[in-house]
Amino acid sequence: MTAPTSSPGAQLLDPAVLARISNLELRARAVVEGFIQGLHRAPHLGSSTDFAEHRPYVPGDDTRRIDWKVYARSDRYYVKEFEADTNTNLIVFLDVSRSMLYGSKLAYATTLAACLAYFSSLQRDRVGLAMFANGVVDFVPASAKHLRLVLHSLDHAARNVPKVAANPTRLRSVFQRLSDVVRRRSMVAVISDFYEEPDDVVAAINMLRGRGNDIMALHILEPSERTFPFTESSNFVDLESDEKMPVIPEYLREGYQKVIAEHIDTLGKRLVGQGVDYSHFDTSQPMDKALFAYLGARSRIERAQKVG
Amino acid sequence: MGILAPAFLAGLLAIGIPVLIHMINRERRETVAFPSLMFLRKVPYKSVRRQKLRHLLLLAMRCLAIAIIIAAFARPFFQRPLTPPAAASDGREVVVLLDRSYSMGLGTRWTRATAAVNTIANDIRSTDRVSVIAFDATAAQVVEPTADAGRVDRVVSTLKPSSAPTKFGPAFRMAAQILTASEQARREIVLVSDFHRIGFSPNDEVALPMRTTVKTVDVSRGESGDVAVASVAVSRQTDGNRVRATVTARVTNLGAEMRTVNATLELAGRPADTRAVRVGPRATAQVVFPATNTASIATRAVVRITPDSQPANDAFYFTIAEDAGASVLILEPAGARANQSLFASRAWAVADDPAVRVDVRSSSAATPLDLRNRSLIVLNEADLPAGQFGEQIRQQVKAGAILLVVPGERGSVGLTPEWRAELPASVGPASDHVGRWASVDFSNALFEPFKTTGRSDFSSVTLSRYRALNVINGGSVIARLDDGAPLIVERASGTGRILMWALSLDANWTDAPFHPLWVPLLHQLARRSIAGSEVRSYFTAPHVLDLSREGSVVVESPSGQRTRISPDSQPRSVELKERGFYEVRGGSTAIGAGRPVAVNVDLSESDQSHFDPAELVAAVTARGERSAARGNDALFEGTAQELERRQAVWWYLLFGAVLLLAGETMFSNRLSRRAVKPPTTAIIEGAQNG
Repeated sequence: MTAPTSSPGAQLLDPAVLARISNLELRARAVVEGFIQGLHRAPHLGSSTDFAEHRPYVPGDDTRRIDWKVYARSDRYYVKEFEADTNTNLIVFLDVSRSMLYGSKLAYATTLAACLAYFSSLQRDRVGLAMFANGVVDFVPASAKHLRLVLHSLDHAARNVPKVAANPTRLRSVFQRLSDVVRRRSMVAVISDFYEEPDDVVAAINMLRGRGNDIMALHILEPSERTFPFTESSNFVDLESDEKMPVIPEYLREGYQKVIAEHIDTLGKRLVGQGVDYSHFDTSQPMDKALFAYLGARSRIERAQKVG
Repeated sequence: MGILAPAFLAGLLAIGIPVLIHMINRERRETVAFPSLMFLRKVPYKSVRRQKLRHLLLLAMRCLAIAIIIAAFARPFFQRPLTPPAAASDGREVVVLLDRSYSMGLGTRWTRATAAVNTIANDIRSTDRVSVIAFDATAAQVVEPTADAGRVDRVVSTLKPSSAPTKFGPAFRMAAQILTASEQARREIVLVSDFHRIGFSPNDEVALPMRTTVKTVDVSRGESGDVAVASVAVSRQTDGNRVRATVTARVTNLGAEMRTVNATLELAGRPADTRAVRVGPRATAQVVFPATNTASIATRAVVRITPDSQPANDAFYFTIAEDAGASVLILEPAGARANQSLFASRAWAVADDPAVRVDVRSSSAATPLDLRNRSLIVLNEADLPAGQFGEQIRQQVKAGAILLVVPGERGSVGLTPEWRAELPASVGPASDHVGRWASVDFSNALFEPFKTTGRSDFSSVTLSRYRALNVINGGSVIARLDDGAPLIVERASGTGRILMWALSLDANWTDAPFHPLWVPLLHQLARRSIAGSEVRSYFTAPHVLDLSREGSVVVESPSGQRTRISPDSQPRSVELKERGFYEVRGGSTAIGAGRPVAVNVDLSESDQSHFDPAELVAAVTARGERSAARGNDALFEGTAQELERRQAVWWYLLFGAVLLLAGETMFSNRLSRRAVKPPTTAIIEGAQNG
């Protein structure tokens, strides 16, 4: 696998270019196809038409799947099984809390979710969506036919900022509820800014892992959330809780940068330590990183399924 | 640089406002939405550092703008320097004030004074300048500013004490003018005097330039007492056709010891009589000389005493003339009451200042010769004379005499047209009225001397009957009765006056003849009748003698200095400065035959009351400082354009403040643009537009 960012189509992964594509599906398609073009691979890699194995026919199997050529040679009924039968669920947990309204985080996150959904759909995976804030805002069950529904929900969320109460997001309570809804083992992509203590985030994600789900944690932040470039003394308002705090940036900047860097580092280490694919995203970065993370996770799942 | 409205400078406190804003503004922030404050709260926070000011340049611009605006409102202005331009050298400008009043002639005062001036002049360096002002009651600069000590010595050696008293004010004012015009670095006044207390009046306005040094040389020490002839009174008695004069001299001992001096009366330059007089310490004695005959023209007379250390007041000069006072003619009607003019004639008879000659005639027996040289004519209930006699009276009035008309019970009922045109009032009937003398016009010359005594003195005069006077010809009522009726009505006629009196001149209708004001009032009437034409027996130097009524005359001073006065001369007067006899004579009059005018020194100068020179120095220098302070206000004098130009600096200040504020706005905006704005919470623009 080669690095995709130097490919001719990589420019389509640039968020600044994507911002000019209004249709979310088109945007996702542009991202995914650009990504695939960079891979120099067939667009239908992993297609469900790939032959996997023969197994003996049992009553109830679809007679259309009987391999008649094998019957002619061996006079036994065998049924063809394809790779598609091993497809998994991809459910995107998208954080639409008020903290995600900061800057272009929500737009970036919805685009990223759409890309994942579209790319996953190309892999014949079932696609679902759960949007949450301090509770579950919207939920689309995973299904091979739900791509458009997922894209529609994402598009609606991107165009109409979800109205959520001014309460801090509590991932543990939200994920506890969602873990009950997601019954089949799935690959869960959690897209959030993770403004919670690392212990709480890990505890929440462990609830999903406990149900056999594979977790991708996609940590979205604005560049200013890391660099804190403000200069004017201002009253900073917490978008989650509406609390206010007078801040003189020049005196807090250095400490803030240090604290949030420690947070990202701690969160990454803790999640990776729990077997979670953690990726930190800056909204100025291309989205192929997320797609690579998805592919990595999917191949890991396939290997695990084959081993199992 | 001065300030018109310094109270506005209190507004400089407003500079604290931008400082406060720069500190408070940090608390008054814009609201910035931020995803979460959880990490900000973890950062240690030092509140003390919040007091640190930022944008110091911006703060300085704002403070400076406020300061400039306030300075503009305080209205600064430029003024001329209070002192002359800086001197090119360290030389001195010395002004010597040399007292030459006649008291300086006492003992060796004058010798010591001139020696002191010479010493000062000899101490003058080549870079210094000295000038000399000789002063008595007036001041004169006798030496222009010079560094030549010899010139000062020569001029001062020609000076002598005058006959005038001491007045420091004019000398200091002249010295101030010289010093103000000087460009020398240091200014000095050296006052050489015997420091008579009378010479300095608290009302003298003296304004010396700033940083003027005043030094004094007191030459009054070690002098003995003085005896002076204080005054002379001449009383005249008519003996047949001759007038005899009795001279009474008052001799004053100003010293502390008993003195006996000889007093000699000289008439026409020859001793007439000598009397010894003994005068106690600080006391006065009278010397009465026997009566002497007088001539028709003024005779020169001198009373001398034994010379002492102060010769200026040892002789008293005066003139004795036959006709030296007022002359009153009282005309009574035929069959007048007994003593009808007694109270008036006796009141005038006792007058001595001036002496009054009184004659009472019956109107029917009076002749034009009786009117000769009369200054006051009284018609005491006599009818207004008609014909030539009446015309002569009117002409005499127009020439300066006073006519007093007293209608009484019987007189002046019918008026001829000639009199009707001249009189101030027509005469009505007599009526009984028990009342009082109510009001008096104290501004009138007749009553002016009584102004300080109060009107109650006149209101105590009672009456029982009066003659109604109806004002005509613009006559003015100068006294009224309590019922408002005119008591005295006056009208000018030519240079003389006509007065009409509603009461009687005796005690028939009023008690005025018994009132204490009766005699002074009639004396004032007599004095007024000769006002402007009286011949005074002596004057006190300095005095300006009015010669406007004279033709071409020559005035010769006692020292022989002659002054020619012609009708074209301006002014037609001469200042009498020397003691002794001046002579005023016409062009054809022989020397010695002219009219003598006696001049004496002011006796107040003989008062040896001395005061501390330091007191005088403190007074004039303190006034100088105050005057310099007031000079700040005087600097505002000038044209409106000049005043506006001096104050125009506030326009420039205001313009500068506007420019500064504009620069501040630009700078502030640039800082605002440089400040990082927080990311908006808007989503990607493209998504919204879609």
